Amino acid sequence: MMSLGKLITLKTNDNEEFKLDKTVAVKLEIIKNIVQDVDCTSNVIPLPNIDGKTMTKVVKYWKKHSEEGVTEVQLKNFDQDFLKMSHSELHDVHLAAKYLDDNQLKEVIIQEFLDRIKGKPIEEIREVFGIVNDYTPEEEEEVRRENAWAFE
Amino acid sequence: MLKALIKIFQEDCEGRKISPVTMMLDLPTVVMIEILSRLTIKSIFCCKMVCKLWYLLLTSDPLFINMYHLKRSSDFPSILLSINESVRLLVELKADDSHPKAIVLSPMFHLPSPKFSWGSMTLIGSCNGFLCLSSGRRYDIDHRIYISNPILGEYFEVKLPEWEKKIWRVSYGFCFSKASSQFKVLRSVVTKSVGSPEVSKLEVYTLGANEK
Repeated sequence: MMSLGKLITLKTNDNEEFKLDKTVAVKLEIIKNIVQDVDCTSNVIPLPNIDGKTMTKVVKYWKKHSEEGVTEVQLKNFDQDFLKMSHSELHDVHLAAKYLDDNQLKEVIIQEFLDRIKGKPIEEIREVFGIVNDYTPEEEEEVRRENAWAFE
Repeated sequence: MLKALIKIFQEDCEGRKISPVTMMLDLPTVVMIEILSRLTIKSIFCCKMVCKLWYLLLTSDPLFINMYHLKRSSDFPSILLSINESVRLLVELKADDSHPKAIVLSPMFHLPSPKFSWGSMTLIGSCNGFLCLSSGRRYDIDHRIYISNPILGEYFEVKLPEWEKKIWRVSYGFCFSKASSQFKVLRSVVTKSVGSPEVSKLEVYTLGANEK
């Protein structure tokens, strides 16, 4: 059993360490499970799937969202600001949230993806997801014809 | 078209020794599906243009279809209204993300044409993204009831018992049972024979099971 210290340290795959208040960290299923199940002698939890740059963002999000007395409006503004990142950074944070089983953060990211592709031209959608168009011009034309009404 | 695409796609993957999952920024297909399933129907049709993988996801991936219907039952009221019978346009209603209590009318979309002849089609109801339609007028002996999955352009007919002469009135309803995860078509029939009082009967047809 882990000693009941107030701080938990999360260590990313590039050896960056994040000290978190335990009350914040155990809100997450995965951390809670590790804390309960693993018989660790230290308070360091390794996160082999997340790098420091991404974890910095995730921790920033957690801290804000567990701040005492924070208002809805403040959180909304924070989220708006928080989501101003490149497409690939957004992907990284999403994968981290998925790994950490943080449904709230996952939901926020998915919504942001949706907002980035909603009503956008096909080229921009490809850009958001880093997709290379693999249709030949003929095939592309055929799919367009098949779904012509959707482009009206 | 679709078959050819699937074939090309599989060959591509085999040739390059990569799985479809690793093709896009390591974003798993599951995540893609989670995002795509929340789009409006019109956007879903547009997104088939993005790439071959998306075409496949949006037309034949069972996970997408399930997720799509799940999202429609939980996040969206997903009511589809027939707004113009002759051109058969439908409006998809969905929750407005920015105003949680508001509902927006998302763009109209055409109901994909079925293989059979249309006649006059009326909307009986919709739930979880499925539509229940009736062809012909309800009082016509040969009217038929169809269930449509507009995202795939599929239609299938609900098998109803033969029309009886004594039937006086008939009306339909369409719903989804959460307990059994099955769609049900309700048919209310009022029969009347000479010299006897009207008799009302409610029949429940469970889809896929042909049970009453």
